[in-house]
Amino acid sequence: MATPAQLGLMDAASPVMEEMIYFHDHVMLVLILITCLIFYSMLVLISSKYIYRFLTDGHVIETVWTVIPAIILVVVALPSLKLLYLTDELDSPQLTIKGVGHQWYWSYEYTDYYDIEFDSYMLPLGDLNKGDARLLEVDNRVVLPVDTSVRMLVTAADVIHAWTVPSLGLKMDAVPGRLNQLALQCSRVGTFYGQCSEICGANHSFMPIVIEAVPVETFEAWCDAMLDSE
Amino acid sequence: MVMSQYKMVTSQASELLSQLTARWKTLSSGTRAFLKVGLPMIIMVVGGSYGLERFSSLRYDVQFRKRRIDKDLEEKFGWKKKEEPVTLENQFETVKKEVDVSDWENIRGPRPWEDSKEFQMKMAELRQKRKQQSEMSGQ
Repeated sequence: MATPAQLGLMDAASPVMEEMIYFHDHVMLVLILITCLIFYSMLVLISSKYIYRFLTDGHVIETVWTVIPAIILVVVALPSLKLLYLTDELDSPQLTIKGVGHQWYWSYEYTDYYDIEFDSYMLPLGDLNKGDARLLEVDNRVVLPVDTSVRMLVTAADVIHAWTVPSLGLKMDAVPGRLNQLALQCSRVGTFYGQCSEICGANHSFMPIVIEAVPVETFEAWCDAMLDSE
Repeated sequence: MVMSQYKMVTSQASELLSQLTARWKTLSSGTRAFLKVGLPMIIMVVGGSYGLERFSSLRYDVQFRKRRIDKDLEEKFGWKKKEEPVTLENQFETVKKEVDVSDWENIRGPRPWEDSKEFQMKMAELRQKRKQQSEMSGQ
């Protein structure tokens, strides 16, 4: 979960998000280097007392400042494309979970082995326990086994919503009449929060998503409990 | 016998080397600079990235290592996967049948001067109605 006044990205909980953080750091380095170079050049030029009024062109420098930016763009684009294709990679998913966006809650279906379906509403303020996150806690969480490749299918029943979990580097529009696919893998146990990311009405800010990554035994016990309660 | 063969091979090698050196000296300085500096740099930059891929791919192999839980679930807990596997295509068919995108009610939110309790009660009624509809369709 994000902490107050947080500026940077959230800690990664999936390998894809780790790669995104590396890429972000890589591009940030390039940007800072370019910015510092430009600022330095500006300072030097402004503070210089020399003027050469017959300066018309400089072939060598013009070649240099065309070739170097092209190389910089390649240095940024190659890892970007690698990451882009990595996010779409879905290799033999172990579980499939369907998430349906409604106004204003999410419903989830686990139908690989048994049919487990439940709704996930935000907990109202009066129902929160001490230490719970306001506007982020839900009554039924999405429970997943850790280190497992999961396919998340996202759709909506009324208007467009968006299923987002920043710690896992996931965001996908939930469009009615369309099924979008996401590759999900939690690399550590924990609770990961997200919020609806597409304006969907009055309570758009009050339909959060909570994922709980647990060991396989805990996942099996949770599934048994859900089946018994149904 | 072996010594004489060795001497013949070394003399041929030194002759070849002197010929290559002479040919190298006849090349223009621009071509020589490209062969000496430019070409090795290009080979190192392009070939190096191919070579380094072997080492950099280790990060993806470690991070994206996945465990199979279906064996755990089937062997340890006796779970069995359904005969018809869950795929994107068959889930899409289900979604097309279940969701009627044209039958959609606009839920008006409470205005600032309105009491949001009525709005919340209406939402609760809608939830109840949807639950009953899904139970009836499930039956």
